[in-house]
Amino acid sequence: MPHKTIHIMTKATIQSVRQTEKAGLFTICFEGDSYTEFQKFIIKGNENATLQPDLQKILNAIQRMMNAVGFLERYFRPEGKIRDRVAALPIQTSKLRLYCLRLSDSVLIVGNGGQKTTKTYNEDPEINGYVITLQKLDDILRLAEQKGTIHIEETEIEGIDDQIFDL
Amino acid sequence: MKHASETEQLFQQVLDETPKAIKQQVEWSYDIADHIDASLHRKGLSQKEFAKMVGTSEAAVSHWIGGGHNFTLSTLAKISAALGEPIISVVH
Repeated sequence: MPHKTIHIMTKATIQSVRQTEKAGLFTICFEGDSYTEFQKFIIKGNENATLQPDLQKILNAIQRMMNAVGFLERYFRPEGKIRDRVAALPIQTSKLRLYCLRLSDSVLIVGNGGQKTTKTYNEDPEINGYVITLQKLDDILRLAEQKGTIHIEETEIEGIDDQIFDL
Repeated sequence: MKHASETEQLFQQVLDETPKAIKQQVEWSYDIADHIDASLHRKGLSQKEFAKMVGTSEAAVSHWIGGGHNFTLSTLAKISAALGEPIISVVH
């Protein structure tokens, strides 16, 4: 039986974290928060001695993708629903998951994550919250792409700097 | 964009503090994944067909080419035999 989670709409921006020739990495920042969602994930993993090696593997994997061939679909595990672009970056020997939106082979928006201790993401309220946030963002971005207010151009999301989203 | 630069600094800090052995493991696992995937494409083999050749499940092959897999020598030997080409080489 999936847990019910209450979601309060919060304003958020998308911020560029790092750009290489092959790829662009972005994250979400909620209004009033001291940290971006990616920072929260890193801090959480880095403070836990058990999770730290897995965090290091995930971040080195992202860096490797950004330097080599980009965010190829086969590197990610689909999460969320079939129609959305929500994915998880797992390390196969660990339960640590980083949830993200893979917009293309060259553009990735990373959210928060944590240890997946249940069989499905929606059985864990915390993980479910991260996935729902990304699903909402995916819907909003699709609409913005259709309207032409944002545009994915190679490793960049053009127009994203001016946007504030209700998530 | 204060948060953005702080996020990048933290990201870089973890990369800098990562032990060399972990960095090497990540590099190798993705290098091997890319090699297997390229080889399957070159030979026109689907994951399902390759899984049958190796005697494993399609899900296992998907994990291998997904990167981040901790390959055993036994698995590498089976993959190498099925592909008919070396996957790794040892420096003498």
